[in-house]
Amino acid sequence: MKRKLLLIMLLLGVVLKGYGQIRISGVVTDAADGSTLPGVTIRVKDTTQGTTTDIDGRYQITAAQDAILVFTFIGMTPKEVPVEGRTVINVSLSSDITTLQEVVFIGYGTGTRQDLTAPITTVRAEEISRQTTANPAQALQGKVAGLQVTNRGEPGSEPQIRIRGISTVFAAGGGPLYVVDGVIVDNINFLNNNDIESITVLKDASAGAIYGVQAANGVILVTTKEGKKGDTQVNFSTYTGFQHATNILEMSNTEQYIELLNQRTGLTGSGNFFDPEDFPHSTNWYQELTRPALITSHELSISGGTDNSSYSYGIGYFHQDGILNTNNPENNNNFNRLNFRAKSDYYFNNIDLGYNLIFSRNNTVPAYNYSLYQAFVAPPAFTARQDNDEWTDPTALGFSGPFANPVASAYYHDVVNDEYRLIPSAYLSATIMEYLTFRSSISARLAFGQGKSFNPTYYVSGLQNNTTTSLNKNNNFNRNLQFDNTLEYRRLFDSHNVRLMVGSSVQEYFSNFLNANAFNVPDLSSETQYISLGDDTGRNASDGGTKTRVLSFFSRASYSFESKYLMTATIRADGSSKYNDPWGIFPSLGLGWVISQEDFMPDTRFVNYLKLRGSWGQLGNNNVPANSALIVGSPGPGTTGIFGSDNPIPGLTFQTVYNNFLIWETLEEFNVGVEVFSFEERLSFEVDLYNRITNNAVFFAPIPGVAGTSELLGNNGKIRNRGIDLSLGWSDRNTSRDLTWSLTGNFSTVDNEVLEIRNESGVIFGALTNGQFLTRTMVGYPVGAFFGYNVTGVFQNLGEINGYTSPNGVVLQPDAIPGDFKYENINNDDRIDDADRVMLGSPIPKFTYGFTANVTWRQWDAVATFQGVYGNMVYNAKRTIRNVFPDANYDLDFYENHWTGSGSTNSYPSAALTRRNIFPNSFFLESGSYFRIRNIQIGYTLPENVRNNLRVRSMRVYFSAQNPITLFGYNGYTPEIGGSPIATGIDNDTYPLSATYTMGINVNF
Amino acid sequence: MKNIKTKIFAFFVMLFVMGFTLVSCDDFLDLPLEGQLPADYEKEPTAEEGFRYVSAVYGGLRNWGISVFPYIGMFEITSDDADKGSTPDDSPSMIELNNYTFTPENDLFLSFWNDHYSVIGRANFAINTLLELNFEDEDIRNPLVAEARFLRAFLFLRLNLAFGGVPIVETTLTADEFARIPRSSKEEIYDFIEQDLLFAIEHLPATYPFSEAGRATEGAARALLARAYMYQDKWADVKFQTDEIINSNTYTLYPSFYQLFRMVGQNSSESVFELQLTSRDQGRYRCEYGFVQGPRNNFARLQGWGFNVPSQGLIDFFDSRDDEIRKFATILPRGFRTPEGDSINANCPNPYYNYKVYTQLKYNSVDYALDHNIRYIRYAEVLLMNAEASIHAGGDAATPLNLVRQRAGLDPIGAPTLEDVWDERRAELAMEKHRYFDLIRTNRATQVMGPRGWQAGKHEVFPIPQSQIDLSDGVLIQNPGY
Repeated sequence: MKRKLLLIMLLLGVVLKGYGQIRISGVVTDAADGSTLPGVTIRVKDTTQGTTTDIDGRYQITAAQDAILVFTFIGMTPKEVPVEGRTVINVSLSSDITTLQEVVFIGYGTGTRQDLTAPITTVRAEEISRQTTANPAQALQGKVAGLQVTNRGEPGSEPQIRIRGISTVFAAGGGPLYVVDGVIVDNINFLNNNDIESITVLKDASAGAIYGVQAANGVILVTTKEGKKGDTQVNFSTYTGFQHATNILEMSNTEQYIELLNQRTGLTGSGNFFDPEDFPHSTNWYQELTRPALITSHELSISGGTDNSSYSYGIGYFHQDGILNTNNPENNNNFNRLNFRAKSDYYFNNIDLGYNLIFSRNNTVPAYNYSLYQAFVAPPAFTARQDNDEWTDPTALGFSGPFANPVASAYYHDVVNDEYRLIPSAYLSATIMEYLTFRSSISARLAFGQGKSFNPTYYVSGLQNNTTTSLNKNNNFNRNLQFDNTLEYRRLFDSHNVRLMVGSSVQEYFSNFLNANAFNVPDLSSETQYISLGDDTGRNASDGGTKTRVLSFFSRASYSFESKYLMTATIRADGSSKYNDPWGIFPSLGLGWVISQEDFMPDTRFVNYLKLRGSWGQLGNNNVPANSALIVGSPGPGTTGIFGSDNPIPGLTFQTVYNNFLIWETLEEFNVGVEVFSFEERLSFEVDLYNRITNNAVFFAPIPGVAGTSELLGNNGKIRNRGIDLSLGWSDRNTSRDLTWSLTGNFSTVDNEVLEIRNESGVIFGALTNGQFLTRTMVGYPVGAFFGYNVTGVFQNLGEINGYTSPNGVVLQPDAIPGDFKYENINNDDRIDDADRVMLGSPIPKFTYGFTANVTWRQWDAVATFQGVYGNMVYNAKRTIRNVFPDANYDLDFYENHWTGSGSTNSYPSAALTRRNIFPNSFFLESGSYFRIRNIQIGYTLPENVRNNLRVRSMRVYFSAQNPITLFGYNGYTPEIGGSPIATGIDNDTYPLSATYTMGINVNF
Repeated sequence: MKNIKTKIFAFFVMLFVMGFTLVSCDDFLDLPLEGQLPADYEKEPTAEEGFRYVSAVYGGLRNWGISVFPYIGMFEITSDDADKGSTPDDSPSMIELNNYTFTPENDLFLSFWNDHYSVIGRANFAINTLLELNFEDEDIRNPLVAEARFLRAFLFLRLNLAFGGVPIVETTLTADEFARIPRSSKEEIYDFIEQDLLFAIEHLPATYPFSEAGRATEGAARALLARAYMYQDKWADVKFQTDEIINSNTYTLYPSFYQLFRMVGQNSSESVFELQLTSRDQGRYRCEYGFVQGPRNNFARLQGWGFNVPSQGLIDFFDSRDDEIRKFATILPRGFRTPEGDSINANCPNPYYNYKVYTQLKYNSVDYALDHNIRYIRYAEVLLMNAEASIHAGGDAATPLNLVRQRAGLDPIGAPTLEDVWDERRAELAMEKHRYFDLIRTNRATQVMGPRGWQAGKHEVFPIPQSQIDLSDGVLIQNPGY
C-alpha cells in the first residue's frame, strides 16, 4: 500500500515540476548501520517550512525546485542537500561524534580528545573483544604505541606490561597502575574481554600525575560496559576452540645425543663413553608433555536504561586447559574463571548515584613448569614408563646429572589455587550550584585466596621420590579501601572553557596470609586433604601481614580558549606510610595549540586538524616494599638451633641492614606531540617525543656478603628513557560497494640509559650465572645490560691455542682444548679475566611495533593484528647448564652446527660445553626480535531478513586465530622473556608458545 | 528556597567529608610494620630469652655453605685423602676443587663466603643486642655473649684458613659501611679470633645438661683457640690450652672408634664441639652434611649423592700401617654389608664411601644421615694437638699420642717424631676435613699434592669470590695467582 502511495507521489512530483514548488519525499537513515532515523528535523533553508521524519524515518515536504533542505538530528552532523528538482531524496546522516570529540577518561573525570594536552591512547571495546585472550591485558599487545606487553603461555598468567621502557627497576614495581571504573586494582585478570567498554592508557607524567605516587609506570584506566538508554538488550557470546603448542624447540635424538656426549668425553677425558646400542629408545619429551587443549568462554549480559536510570549486568565463564599434559585426570593443568558484574546508575534532578559490583573466582591448576625444564635437560634415551608400566629411573642409566623423569614429575604435581575477588563501589554526584559538581565515591577491593599443594608418596628414583605425604595450605586475604572526593567547577564563558577540580583520596591497603603444613596426610581424595588428618608432629604454621596507607590531595585546572589554546595543570600531594618522609608533591603542566583553528591556516583537505602539544610532569612511585629498617624476627627452621640431638630452640635475629632510609622515587617527564587529521579525518597521525627521568630509583641490589645479607633495598640510581611513539591510521569507506576498511599502526622506540648509580662501585649487578654476574646496571648503559666475554672464534687445534698470546707472548687460554671458545683480550694484558668482560647487548628492544587491519564488506568483517619487537637480546641460559646437568640433552640447532674437528666451524663450540665455555659470553646472546600474527578474526553478521526470522537484533559468527604464527630466530621456546628489571631477558624458560583457534557467536536479543 | 537550602546543606556535608580526611594526616600515615618485632623487644630478658639470639647463630651453622657442599669440597676433596666421588661429570665446581683448576668464579667459594658472613652477622647481632639489653645479672649476660663470640671465632677461623685475611665485621653494618671494608691481614684475624675466644674461655661453663648438648663450652673454646694457635705455629700456646683441657678431666676417648661415629656415639665423652643434626619434623631442620656423602644410587634412605669418597691413597696409607680398626671405620666399600645389617649396592658408581657419616637405615626416617651430628672437635684432636705441641715446645708427646693409638688398637710409640704425630692425625682424623690445611701448615703440600696439580704460592688459599670483588669496587684485593 505504502509503495503504491509512493509511486503516486512520485508521479505527482513529475507533474508538479513545472510549478516551481515540488513535493519531495524520502527516507533518512543512519550512515553507521543503515537503520532508519525517526524524528529527524527537515527544514527548507531560509524559510519557516519544516517537518520531521516518522517512525519509519520517512518524510514529505514541499519546497522549491532550487531550494536547499537541511537535515538535523541530535548527535548527527547536519546535512544540507540541494533539491535540484528531485522528488525523492534519501539521506543518510553520520554521527557527529568524530574521533576528536570522543570522550576520553583522564582520571577523576573525562575530557574530549581535542582538548587533551597529554599523550593518552584509548583502545575501544572491539579491539579487545575480538581477541580470544584469557584477559583484556593480554589483548593490549601491539595495540598502543609505547606499551610493551610480554605474554606468557601458561593459563591464568598475568602479562608483564611496561609503558615507555623501564623507568623503575624494582621488580614488583615495574607494572602500571590499573584503575577499573575509578577503583585502583592490582591487575585486570578478573575481567572478560567483553566486559570492556574502553581501555585508556595514560602514557606520560602529565597525564598520570593526577594519580601521583602510584603512577610512575603509567596508568591503565579501564571502563566496563554500562547500560544505555533504550530497550533491554540481552547479549550472549560464546566461543570454543583449541590451543596447540607452537615453536617447540627441537632437541637431539638419542643417537645424536650420544654422539655429542661421546665427543665431549673424547675431548675432555671427563665423563663416560656410551654405546648407542644400549639405548634403543628415543623420546621427544615435549611430545609426551604437551597436548592440544580446550579453550571456551560463555558470557551473558543484560543492559538497558531509561531517563532516570541505567543498568548493566553480566555473567561469564571462561575455561582454558593448559597445553601441559600431566597424563593425570586428577590434576589436569587448567584455568577457570567465573565472573559477575552489576552496574546501575540513577539520575535525579541534581543528583546522580550508582553502584558497581564485580565478583570473580579464578581457579588455577598450575602447570608444573619444572617438569618442562626437566624435559629440556632429560636424556632422550629412555621412555617415561618401562614395559611393566613402572616409571623409568633416569639416574640408573649412567648419565651424569640430577635427572628426573619429566612425565612423572608432571604426573604427581598436585597444586590448586583459588582466588575470589569482590570489588564493590558506589558513588554519589551532586550538582550543588550551577557549574559546581561534587562527587564522592567509596570502593573496596577484597580478595581471598586459597592454595593447596599436596605431595603424594611415590618412587621414581633415589632423587625423585617421596616417602611421606605432605600437605601445604595457604590462605591469604587482602583488602584495599579507597575513599575519593572531588569538587569540580565547569564553566564556559563565551570562548573560555574553564574547569577546575579539587579532590582528596584516602587509601588503606591490608593483607595477611596464613600458611600451614602437615605430613602423613592420607592420600585418598581431596576430601581427606586436611591438615588435621596429618601427623601431629611436624605440623607447622606461619603467617604475616602488611598494612599501608596513602593520603592524597589533588587539583586539576584546565582551560581552553576557542578550543584553540589549551592548558591543563595538576598538582597532587601524596602521603605514603611506606616512606620515612611520607609527603611528596607532584605537579604537572600541559599546553596545546590547535593550529588548524587559526585563521591563517588555509582550510584544506590535507589538514583538517593539527595540534601541537607539550607537557611536563612529575610522578612518584610507592610500589616498593614498606620501608624496612632493622627488623627482628624468628624466620623459621634456618634460625633455630638444635641441642641435645633433636631439641630445637627457636632463634631471634635480624633480617636486613641498619639505616636503610628510603626517599621518594620520582619520575620527571617531558613530552612533545603533534596530532594531525587529514582528508576528512580519514588519515590520523600522532607522534610523541618523550624524555623521562627517574630519580632516586628504589630497588634491591646485591651487596657485599660481609653485610650479612645478599641484597638491599635503596635509592640506587637515576635512569633515563627517551623515545618516540608514533601512530598512523587510515580509515575509509566506499559506500557504493558497502565497504569500509582501516589500517592503523604504531611504532615506538625506547632508548634506555642509566645516568647515575649511587653506590660505591657504580654498578648494580643483576643475574648471577655460573659464578659471574651476567647483567649490570651501570652508568652509560641500559638497565640490566648483558656483560661477558666476547667470543672471537673457536680454537681449531692446539696450535691455535698456543698461538693465542698477549703482546708479551703469554698464552692467554692455556687451559683451553680444541673446540673451546676464544675470548677477546680486551685490555691486552697477559690473561683473560674479568677485566675482559664487555657490554654485549641490551635486553630492551630498540623498537616495538604493531598494526591492525580492519575490513567490513557487506555482512563480512575481518580483522588482523600483527605485532613485534626488534633489537633486544636474549641470553640463552639453557645452553649453559652443564655444570649442574653434565649429560643434559643438546638442542638440535647445536647438534647440527657444533664444532666437530679442525675447520668444521668457527662459531659454535664443541660438545664439551663446560668449563670456561659457559662463562657469560657473546655466543649465548641471541637476537630476541620477533614478528607475530597476533590475531586474525573473520566474522559474518547475519542479514536483516535472517535476523528478523530468528527474532534477534543482531547475530555474528566468527572464526578466530590467536597467535597463529610467531617468527623468530632465537634458539628457544619463546623470545618473550620477562624478568626483574635488572635481570631480564635471561632465558631459562621452557614453556612453549601456543596458538589458539576458536569459533564463536555473538547474539543480541 | 528549598533548593538553596539543599545546596547549602550539601556544601557543608562536602566540607565535612573533606575536612575529615585532613584530620591528623601524620598519625594516619604513621603505621608500625605488621608482624615484626621492634628491635628493642625484650627489655629485661631471662637467660632463656636471651639465648634465642644465640640459638639463631647455631641454626646458621647448618647452612649449605658452612657445613655442607662448599665446606666438604674446599676442606677435603682438595686433599689427597679424598676424591670427588659421584659420577665423573657431576658438579664441575667440585671437579675444579679436586684437580686445582678452580677460579674465582667457582660458586662454592661464593656460597662459603656469603654463608659465613651471614651467620657472622647473626653472631654480631646477638653480641651487640645482648650487650644492650638489661639483664638482671651480668652472670646471665656474659656466658651468652661468650657463646656468640665463640661461634664468631669459629666462623672467622674458617674464613681465615680458606682465604687468608678477610674483612673483619663486628657490628651489624649500616648501608654506608658494608662496601668499604677492606681485608684485614691473616694475623689481624687471628688476633680477633683470640680476643673472642679468650673472652669465651673466661665466661663459658665447662659442661651443659645433656638436653643442651651442642652448646659451646670452655673446653670447646680452648680447643678452637689451640687450633688457631696451631695454624700460626704458636706451639707453647697450643700446649697451654690443650693441657688445660686435658687437666680439666672433662673428656675421655670413647672406647670404640667404630661406635663413636654411630648414633650411640653422639655427644659422647669425647665430644668437644658437635653440631647437632636432626631429621625431626620430616627434615624441617635438615642439614645434608652426611647425605651428600652417602652412597650414590644405593637403596632408598641408604643413599646420598656419593661425593667426597676415600682415595686409594688413603686406603694404601691405612694398609701400610696395619691400621685396621680405623680403616674399617673410615672406608665404606660398595657391595658391603655393615655389622648393623645394611647393604651397600655393588653397582654404586664409586668403590668406597665415607664410613664416618654412615647412619643405620632404621634411623633414616626422611633421608640418609640427616641425624648424623658433625663431630667438629673431638678430644682425640685435642690430644694430638697436645702431642704435636709437646714436640715443638717441649713436653710429653708420647702420652697423649699413645692414648689415641691405644684406642685404635695400635702399639704405643716411645719417642714420637713430628711425622708420627702427623701420620696419626691423618689416620685418626681422616675424612674429617683436616688433611688439606694440615699438609699446607706442615709444608708438605707440594710434596704430597704437587703431582696432582697443587701449586705453591697460589693454592695455600682459595680465591676471593669474583662477585665479591666486583661488588667491592676494588676494595677487596684478590689473592696472588688468581
